[in-house]
Amino acid sequence: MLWYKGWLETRFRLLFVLGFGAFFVFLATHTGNSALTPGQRLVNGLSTYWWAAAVMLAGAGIKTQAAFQATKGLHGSVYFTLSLPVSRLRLLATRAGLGMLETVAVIAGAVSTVWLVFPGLRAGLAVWDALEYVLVAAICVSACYSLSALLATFLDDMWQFWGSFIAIFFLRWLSEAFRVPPSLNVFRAMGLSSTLFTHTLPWACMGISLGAAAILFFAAVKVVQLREY
Amino acid sequence: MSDPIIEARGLHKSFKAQTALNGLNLEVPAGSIFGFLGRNGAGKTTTIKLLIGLLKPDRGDARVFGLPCGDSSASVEIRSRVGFVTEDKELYPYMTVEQIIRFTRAFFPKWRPDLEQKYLKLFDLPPKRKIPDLSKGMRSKLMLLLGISHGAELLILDEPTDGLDPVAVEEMLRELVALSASGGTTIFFSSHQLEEVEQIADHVCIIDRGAAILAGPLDDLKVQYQRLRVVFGEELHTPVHWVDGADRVRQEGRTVEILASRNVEAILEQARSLPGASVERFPVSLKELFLEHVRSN
Repeated sequence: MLWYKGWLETRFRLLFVLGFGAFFVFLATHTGNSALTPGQRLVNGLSTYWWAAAVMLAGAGIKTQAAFQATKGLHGSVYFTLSLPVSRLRLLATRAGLGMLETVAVIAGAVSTVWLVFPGLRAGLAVWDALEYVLVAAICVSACYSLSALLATFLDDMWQFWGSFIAIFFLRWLSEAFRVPPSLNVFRAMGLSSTLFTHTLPWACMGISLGAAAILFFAAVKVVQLREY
Repeated sequence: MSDPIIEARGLHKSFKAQTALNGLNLEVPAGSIFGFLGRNGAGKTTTIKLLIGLLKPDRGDARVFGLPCGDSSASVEIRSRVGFVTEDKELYPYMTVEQIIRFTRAFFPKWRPDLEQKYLKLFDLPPKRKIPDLSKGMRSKLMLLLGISHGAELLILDEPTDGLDPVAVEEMLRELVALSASGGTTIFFSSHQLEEVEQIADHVCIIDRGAAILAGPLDDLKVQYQRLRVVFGEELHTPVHWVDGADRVRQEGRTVEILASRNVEAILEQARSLPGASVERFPVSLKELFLEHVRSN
């Protein structure tokens, strides 16, 4: 039933993210660096959309999240949630698991839609390539997702949202400013250095992202377990 | 005598510089209706949060069913046997009455559909209505239904009648008494509505500044404490040194009011022996006990 609760909290948010995705695809195909092919522009744009979607779906820790608006402060119903005979680990894992599943669904849905809607892209792209890209993008975005899930354990919705955006933008800027090699750049592994163009799986990026996601999620669990409500 | 269902020893809890609990001791007998009284900010809600596992004590030990409240896995076991009505009565705003019942039922294998149906009808709760559209009284009743229907051995209610109209208060108090009488459920409820507590509680604890200042069976306290009024023929110019047991003495003109906890007969005898004194004895109400103890603390 915790999955059901999570679904009721996120269904409209998920719809919004999907709608935002359609707008993003339009933007990515009609604007951007003209030196890139339409396909590169699209994938480059989508790499930003993946982590934006992850931030929006990362939840509110174990607090109850309003369906539409970002709300400030502690939601009173957290006391009811915490009075249920369920550990805080299970509460957080269920909510975070659901949000991550929704993020993967968004990535898979968007890639499938692009594959179906743009025949020009489909020509040079096998189904297996698309599936491989979905897998890589889901794994690479998991670190951003866990960062946002961690921030949600001690910040209200609004600060979690902007805090995650600022932190991820900063990390992305650092990765470019310090010329992190493409083989280690998690952001590039979802964009211009993705498996769609290199045709090799970015194992190092995937490992870095999964490791970071695990550490950040562990930190989120610790915060939730130690925090007093 | 059976073991207490709730037991706290020397509980301390502070929030930054603010001391919320200052060595609280508490014993709640199994099967009792226990009124937990105190002013706003006395530490009632903090105590309840510690019992449920929302907070951890800085020092001291709290146990429910003999299990330590501060231990995470024991706290899950405690919560499976406790029904809890929160102070703010907030539930998930996106659920309807029937959805929250279905949701809660999934966590309690011993859920009683018969009780669920009984209280749904008794409290006149509309199953299809969204929670934000319920009045505060209805939300209180809904939380009580959720607590009762999972067969809780202990109900912890934080200001359960707060915001209810007098009719709803009466209904709720009646149901609490019925529940305790029929199923042996222990009811621990915090309140500052002294009349309500006096109406249904058989045990009370008055808490002030984070410590218990009076506790025990209500009937025993009422027998133990007596109020004496001594009226003298003329104004007293020197204070009388009363025998041991006169806890609070207030003198105004020719009248002396005494709250006695022990040696009542000896105090009466002393009063009668004073020149020109007439003495009356009154039973004390819970309100008087509360006010006398809180004011003098």
